[in-house]
Amino acid sequence: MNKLRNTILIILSAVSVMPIVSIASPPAAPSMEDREVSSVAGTADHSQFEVLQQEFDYAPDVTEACLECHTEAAKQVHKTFHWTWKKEVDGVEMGKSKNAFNNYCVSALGNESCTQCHVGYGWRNKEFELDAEENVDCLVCHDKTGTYKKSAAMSGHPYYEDTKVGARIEKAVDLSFVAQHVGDPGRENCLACHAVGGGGNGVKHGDTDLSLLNPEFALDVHMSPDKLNFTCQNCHSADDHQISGRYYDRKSFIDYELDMGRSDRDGSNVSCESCHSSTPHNDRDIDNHTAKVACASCHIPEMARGPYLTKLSWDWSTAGDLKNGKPYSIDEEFDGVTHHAYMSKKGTFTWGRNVVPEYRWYKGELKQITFLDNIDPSKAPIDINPPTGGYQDPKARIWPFKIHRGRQPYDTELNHFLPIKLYGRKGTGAFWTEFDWPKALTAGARLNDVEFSGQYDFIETNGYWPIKHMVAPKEQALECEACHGRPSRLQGLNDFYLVGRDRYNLVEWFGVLAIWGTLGGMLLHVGYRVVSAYRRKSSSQVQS
Amino acid sequence: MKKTTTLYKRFERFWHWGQALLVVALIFTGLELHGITSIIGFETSSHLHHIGGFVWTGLVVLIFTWILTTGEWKQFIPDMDGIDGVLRYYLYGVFIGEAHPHHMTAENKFNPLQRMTYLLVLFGLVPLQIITGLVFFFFPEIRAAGVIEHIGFVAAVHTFCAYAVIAFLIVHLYMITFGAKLSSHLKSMLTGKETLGK
Repeated sequence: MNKLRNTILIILSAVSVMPIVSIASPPAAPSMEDREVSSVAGTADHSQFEVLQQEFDYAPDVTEACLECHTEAAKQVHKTFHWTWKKEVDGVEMGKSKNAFNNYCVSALGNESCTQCHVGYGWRNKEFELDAEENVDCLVCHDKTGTYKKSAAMSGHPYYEDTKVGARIEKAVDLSFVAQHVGDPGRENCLACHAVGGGGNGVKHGDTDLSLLNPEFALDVHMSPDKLNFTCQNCHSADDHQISGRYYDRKSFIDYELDMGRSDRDGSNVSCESCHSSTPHNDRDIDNHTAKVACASCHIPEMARGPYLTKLSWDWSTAGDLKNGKPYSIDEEFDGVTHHAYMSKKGTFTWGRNVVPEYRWYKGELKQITFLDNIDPSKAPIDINPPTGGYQDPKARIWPFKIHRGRQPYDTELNHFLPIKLYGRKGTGAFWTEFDWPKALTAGARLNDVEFSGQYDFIETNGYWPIKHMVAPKEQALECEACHGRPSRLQGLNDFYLVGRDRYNLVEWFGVLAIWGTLGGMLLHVGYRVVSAYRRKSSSQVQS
Repeated sequence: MKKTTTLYKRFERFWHWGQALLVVALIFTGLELHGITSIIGFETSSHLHHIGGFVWTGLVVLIFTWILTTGEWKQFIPDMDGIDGVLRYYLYGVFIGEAHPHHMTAENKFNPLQRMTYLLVLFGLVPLQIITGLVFFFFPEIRAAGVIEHIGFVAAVHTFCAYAVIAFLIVHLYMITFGAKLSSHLKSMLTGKETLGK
């Protein structure tokens, strides 16, 4: 009897606590604390392993526990770009950890807060041990509880104690609980980093934000739980911790070789054609497009179609303005959503929702320029990672892009881009604490091994983000006129003739002259015929 | 002495009016595709233009076969004799009430100006328009086969021909009004019968 009473009490108290828990969790992020989480992954119940039944107070200890059974896991992860954050392309190492940059926060290196998205623990500076197996963060990808969070202030370590971050409290992670509830990565795991790149939800990609956690069918036909309920790995297939996808050294897809199976793709993504074939429309006219037009161009009619904005431009040159010595921000409404239009820390932004993409030829690879490359400032805006290809290139197709317009610092003497030291304590030169451009650029250059002459200015840049997620239902696919009309979405792609958009002036002038000239001549002829007939009639009447 | 003859045979009238219908439909949908008008939309226009184009191609094959096998082709042989009189009529005579200088017979239906115009239109403009149209339609296959890489030039010729056809059509329609009565030519093209002789 006692046992039964205790059980009832436990259930009652659990029920009474539940509402409080769900209120405490932020409304934007789906609450997972009240979710049933199984400790069984595949054929193993991780809660039964003794090595995981200990009180962990340090995350690398968890990794060591994992590695006792999964002996090869860390070695595999060490080879991936999730770990190295760089690959070699044409003899130049590039990635977040070396030489490459973008036009958001420019450079991750030197800004410890960025390494919260590294699949490791403690990448604070150059002393970080890239070959230490216990530094691999297994949990960020394999946590099934939704309670595992990495701290910006601790270079990728999880919250070890309750921590005030802004206005909210981040709770200490129960490492033992998380370690016993692991499994295949879900969208929460991937999106925890990939949806918030560039400094927040939806900022970077335009087609990847937190709305993909639970998208409605109209937003993403593949990932919506209403129908297919795909995970990320349905397309980004994985082997030995190598996850397929575009990186500096590999193409996102190899679609010009159509209708390939997964094994043929070897590290490249499964693409639309892998499942749908390249001629899925049962309509010759539309199927003929696929030789030159990517599926995404018609089937993702707008980007950022969820509730969240994506950043469209970022002007660093206005950053650093202070009111009474203090940083401030200005909010504005963008497409019905209020967001920062100015921040002293970051400069001036524009944002958008339901944004019409821009279209470029693309072969699944972007030509990244690095801090090592010289630029010609007279050629601004500078394309920092442009897609390549053209009409004549059988490997290229027309793809939709988000083109993020930036204005970012460069060295006016040495003509190369400059990283910024943003995050750090006073005295480090960090811009977000000292608001001093020369200091922040000097520190950023030093931490990234980039030369800095001391002379700097800001230059306009274009950052390219191919749009491929958020495929819309077929009813929302673009109408012909979107491209075959005036104005055309393909404006600017002028290396081929496009029906409905293109005209030859000479032919059009001939048409105007031939048609209107003939009509005019005819009207004159008619007029004179009528007049002369009338005259003849009246003169014959006079004679009679 | 006046007598009524069948000038336009039944098949001749069929192909004339069939072609008229197709050409008007192709002009209408073609202007949509070219972005000059937007009434029924690009997709519908595209389908109709393709169907119309193939039907026209078939019809023109029949027309040419008919013209060649019936000996009608002789009517299209250029004959400059009397062209000055015809030109003088349209530019002057019609205003002072002169009669048309050309005397129609079943064997010589066309005046010298018509012979030349119809030769150019039926055996020049029409085949050129159909051929460029077919190249346009089969461009994806032709490009895949590596024959041509761009469609721009073909498109330019096709559009040029289309404008020429429209201009021809305007003159052609106006020429209906030069019969004995305003409606005479239209009537004979419908019934095939024309009153000949003086």
